[in-house]
Amino acid sequence: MIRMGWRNLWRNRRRTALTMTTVGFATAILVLTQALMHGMVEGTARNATDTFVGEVQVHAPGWVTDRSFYNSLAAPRPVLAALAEAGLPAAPRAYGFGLTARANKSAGAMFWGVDPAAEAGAFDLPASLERGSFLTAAASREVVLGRKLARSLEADVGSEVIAVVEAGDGSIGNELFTVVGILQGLGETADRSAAILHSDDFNALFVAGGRIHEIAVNTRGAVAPDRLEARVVALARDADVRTWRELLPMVSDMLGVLDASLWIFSSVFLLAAGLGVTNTMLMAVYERTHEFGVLKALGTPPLRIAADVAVEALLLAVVATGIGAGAGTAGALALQRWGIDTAAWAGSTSLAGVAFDPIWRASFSLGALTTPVLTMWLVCVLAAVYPAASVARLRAVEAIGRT
Amino acid sequence: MIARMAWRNLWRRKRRTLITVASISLGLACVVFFLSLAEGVYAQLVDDAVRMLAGHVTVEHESYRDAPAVDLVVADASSLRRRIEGVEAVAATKLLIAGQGIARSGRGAVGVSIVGVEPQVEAKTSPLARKMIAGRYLESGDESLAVIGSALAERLGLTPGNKLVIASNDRDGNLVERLFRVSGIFKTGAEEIDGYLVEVRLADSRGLFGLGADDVTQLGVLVRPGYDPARLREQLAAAIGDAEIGRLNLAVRPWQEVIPELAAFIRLDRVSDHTFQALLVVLVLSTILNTLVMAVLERERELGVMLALGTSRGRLATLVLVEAAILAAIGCTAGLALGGAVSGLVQVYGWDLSSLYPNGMTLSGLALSTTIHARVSAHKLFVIGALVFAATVILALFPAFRAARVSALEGAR
Repeated sequence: MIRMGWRNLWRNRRRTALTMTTVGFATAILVLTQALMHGMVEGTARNATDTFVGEVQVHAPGWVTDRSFYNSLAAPRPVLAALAEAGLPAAPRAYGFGLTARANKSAGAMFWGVDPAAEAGAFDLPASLERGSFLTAAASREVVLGRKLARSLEADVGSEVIAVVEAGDGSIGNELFTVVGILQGLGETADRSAAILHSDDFNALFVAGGRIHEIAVNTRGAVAPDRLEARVVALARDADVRTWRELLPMVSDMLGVLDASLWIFSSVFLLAAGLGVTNTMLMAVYERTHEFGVLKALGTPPLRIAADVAVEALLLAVVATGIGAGAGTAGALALQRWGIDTAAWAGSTSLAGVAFDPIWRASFSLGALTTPVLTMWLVCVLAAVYPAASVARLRAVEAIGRT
Repeated sequence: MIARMAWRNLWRRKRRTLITVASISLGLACVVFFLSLAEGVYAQLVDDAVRMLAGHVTVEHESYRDAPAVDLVVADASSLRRRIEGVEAVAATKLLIAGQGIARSGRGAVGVSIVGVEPQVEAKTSPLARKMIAGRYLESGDESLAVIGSALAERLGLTPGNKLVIASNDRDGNLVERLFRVSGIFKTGAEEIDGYLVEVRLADSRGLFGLGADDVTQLGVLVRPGYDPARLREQLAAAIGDAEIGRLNLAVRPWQEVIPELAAFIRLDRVSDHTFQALLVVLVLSTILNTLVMAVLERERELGVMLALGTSRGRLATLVLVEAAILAAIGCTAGLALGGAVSGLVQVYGWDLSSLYPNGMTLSGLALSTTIHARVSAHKLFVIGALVFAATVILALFPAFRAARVSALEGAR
């Protein structure tokens, strides 16, 4: 029966080829749009985590609600060592509030004490600069400022700023730093308050004695979110472990909105593709009314005609979706590799505290093929069987008479 | 003659014609609907943002944008305001003094934006006044009262009636401090606003920053509904006059320069929207092409007979083209009508998404209303319709050439 269907398809090569082109093309477009949509959602999540937030963060219990300088991790070193041993890239950070001043301008700032090598290993932060460069590996009284903080201080690369803080021992810490870099837009909090120091400079300024308030872990998607959280929880007992979705609820919500609107979009695509293919299949089957009439006159039962047509339609769909999925996959992989550069139209964008990579990349997974391919199969078979069945119910004479 | 024949040909295959028209029009309607929905969301975002911030067009000191500091003021604000309010397209003007400082309470200190406003104007124009979750918004007589965002209130442990100290630099660079009492707490859902904005009365901010009685840092202008915000900038510049702009070192800026992040976000979102819409149009066009080609192949015999009867090849091609044009015209008209009508309904009544998003929606750090209104633009509708029509007719050239090459023998067989 399959072989007969196959032969039937090739009896009218042009019609089959044309129908296949439509089905294949629709499949390819569906695969491509799915990949572009996934890429958009994943890209947003990546943008949210890779700059400095990370996929999981470790804090002392209660830090998230009360960010007191004294509420630091009890035993950060063993956690860092265990993370390194497990091959999970992580960066330790310390935070302290203080004032920055330059000439007659002053502004409040959140000082970050970071390890430049660890940041470079796990995050894009060292490369996320509008101007200048990031901190050097050895502490040398350098500071990298948030964009708006630099603007409030009228500071640029090379400027000197004074830091005045209340140190950990109750004294007043006071030091002069040279601005080496200005961060690009990383969201409101970082933009208006971040003053990033080398951890050694931070310890000297705040008399912090190596306090660590946060360990941010980022595998850049190498480990699935749930498993990563479980592994970090196992490594960092007695600490508070949170995923980026808990830390950035607004971005997480926004992804939900994006996901929902893309879901609507993809149903519209399925609808449009389905309609187009239905149209084509209906035409291809109605064209054969005469042929079915002859079959009927020869005594073929209607059910058999419908079954034959269904097999043909399925064969056609399998071949066409195969070719279409191949083409769509190739296109999606190309867009995953090179992406679409939106900077030409949109410039750089930061949104709800996330700086956006201007390259929009597709994200392809084999799972993304399932929906388009199965939908096309279903649509093809239904759109072929319905007219075939209605024609098959006609009397043979009527069917033959129709052109 | 050809038109009539084409018309009849189409209706001889009623089912095929209807299916084709349906797929053109549904595809087009979807594109129109999504475009209108997106434009509606953008328009609402922009409207909320400019009402909360510095208006569709902002008049400020020409250097303020590069280094926002309270010494870069617009002097003679009231005479400027009178001139601006004479412009027909202006719905309202708002005076603002925006500076940076540190808000402190017993619980801690946070760097904030301090904005001096006229309470009676803001109450009428700004969405902020309607987003109070505790206490009340400012009133004209409220000396030394402040409204703050929910996230800031939480971080500083403040509730209405509590005290907070605001420290800043005045226009001469001296460190100044002033005590305020919390009048109310607002929540917009946007981190930038809820976590960092403190609004006080204009007079109090003048006192804090040491500004003169007629100084402001921004004069915001809101456009009257139905007038084009894009043209407002030039109208205002003309109303103020070059001499005055030069004397006071003013800059008249559209909102795109004042809130570049929002403008960039909208451009970015448009890129992705247009990409999907283009793919959708390509998908629809591919099925149309298929239909047209099939319609010719199916009728080779008939076309061959016409050729044998003396119809010229050119006429055969024209016949196919005219058929396609009629299909496209009906499909496009129906699609635009359907898409426009549905969008129009959503524009008037809105689409309530609160069941989908019980926690509310934010975009670009701005809270969106969960009822979204589409925005239909006749101009855009026309452009898309014309584009699909033209593309269909161009695609029909293939089958038209094909029809012109049928052999008369085919018809005889």
